[in-house]
Amino acid sequence: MLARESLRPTSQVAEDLREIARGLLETGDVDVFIGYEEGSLPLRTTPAFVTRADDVSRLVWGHACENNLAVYLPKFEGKVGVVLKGCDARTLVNLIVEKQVRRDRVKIVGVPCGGVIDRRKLAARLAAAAGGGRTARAASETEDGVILARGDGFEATVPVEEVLSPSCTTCTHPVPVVYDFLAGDERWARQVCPKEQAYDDVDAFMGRGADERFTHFSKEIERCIECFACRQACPLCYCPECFVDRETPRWVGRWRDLSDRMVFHLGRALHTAGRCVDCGACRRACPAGIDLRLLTRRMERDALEFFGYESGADLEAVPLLATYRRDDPDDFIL
Amino acid sequence: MVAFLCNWCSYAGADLAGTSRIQYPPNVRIVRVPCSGRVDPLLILKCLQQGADGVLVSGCHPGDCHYMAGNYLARRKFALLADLLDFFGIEKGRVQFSWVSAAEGEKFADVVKRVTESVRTLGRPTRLVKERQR
Repeated sequence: MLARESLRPTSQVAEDLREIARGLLETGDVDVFIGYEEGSLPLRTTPAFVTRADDVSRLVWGHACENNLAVYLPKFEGKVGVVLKGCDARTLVNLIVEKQVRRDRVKIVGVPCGGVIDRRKLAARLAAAAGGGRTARAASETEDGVILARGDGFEATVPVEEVLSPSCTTCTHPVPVVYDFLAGDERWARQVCPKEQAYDDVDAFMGRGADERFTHFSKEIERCIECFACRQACPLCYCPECFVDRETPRWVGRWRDLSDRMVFHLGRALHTAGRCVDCGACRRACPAGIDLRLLTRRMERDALEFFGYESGADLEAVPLLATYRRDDPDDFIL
Repeated sequence: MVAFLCNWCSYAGADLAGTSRIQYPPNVRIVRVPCSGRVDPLLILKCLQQGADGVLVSGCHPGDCHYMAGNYLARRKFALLADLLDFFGIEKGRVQFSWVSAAEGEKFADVVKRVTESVRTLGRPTRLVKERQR
């Protein structure tokens, strides 16, 4: 059970969000406010686009607010207000650095994040608790970070901390690095993962042999159905024409060859190098449950280790691959 | 094997090796590119997909780029690509990089020898190769 101090009064955050959104819409500071509203299933939320101050009551907050809403920002012309968690704010920093979004057109409402639920983990926990073909019919979260679920003849409680999205457990910036308004209190954010431990699992994976690593990736990517939901969920995948859609040259074939799917995943990882902040949106969007973070996190780790570059931390940064240093690593070159 | 050679240095280096009658393994097919910075990592992946035994990318020494910084920018991309391929489980040595100037015919021949030998020890590639290429 969690200590009382680390609990997050989620309803207070929701109230703050509505209040800030109302103010922004009433004064005309923003044309649209992007937040979260209740989804059609329990413990699911969906992005809400609020244009009238009267509608701010739709906005909600909780551990089910999993989408990275920065994904919508390059698409809007006008002034936008947006709710961003710690990781989401770092992706916005990258969008600003890459000149895809103008800082003065966005009102950032930051939320000190307590982590989001991994619905696959939760489903597994609930299935185990229900047993024998019974399913949960209703679920909700309490103020103190516990999920309550009910079904036919059973009740289950699961602490949010035990079913967190894996990217939340290695989060180094739960509090947004940039914001205009802060909803809630910084003290309600999840504890920070020490930077030197953030890539331990990636390094551990590298410790396995090359054959084992390749087999692992083959098995994972075998399940890819090339729906490109990972690309759509990613705020940094804003190219008007993605390399997978190219006809000449055709980088990724259409014949469901495993090799082509591997090229997609390798290309995606390379294209997010020095840009990905591990918000985990791609992994949560993947219908096949592929561990998409392993490759992108390797790139994130490399950016830090090879070039001392932390993605999304600095509004004045020059993108990793748009610059160089004379003393960049050279030892791999003959 | 496929070798992407920068027009301004390594390609001329290969030419010098040829005109100087320096012998080197005939296992590379050279693709002339304007700069090592032109070599999109996707080109390298494409070569591996099509069944190339190895890929060599060679450009100007740091500080010598015809376009001032093309090779420096390429170096960052290649450092990431090399590590990503290694992480993915593609044998180290399938894809190699070198700096060879226009005056280094001798070095070019030596690089091709070394790369050919190391790729030969790896044998025929299977990873990332398209089904119909096997």
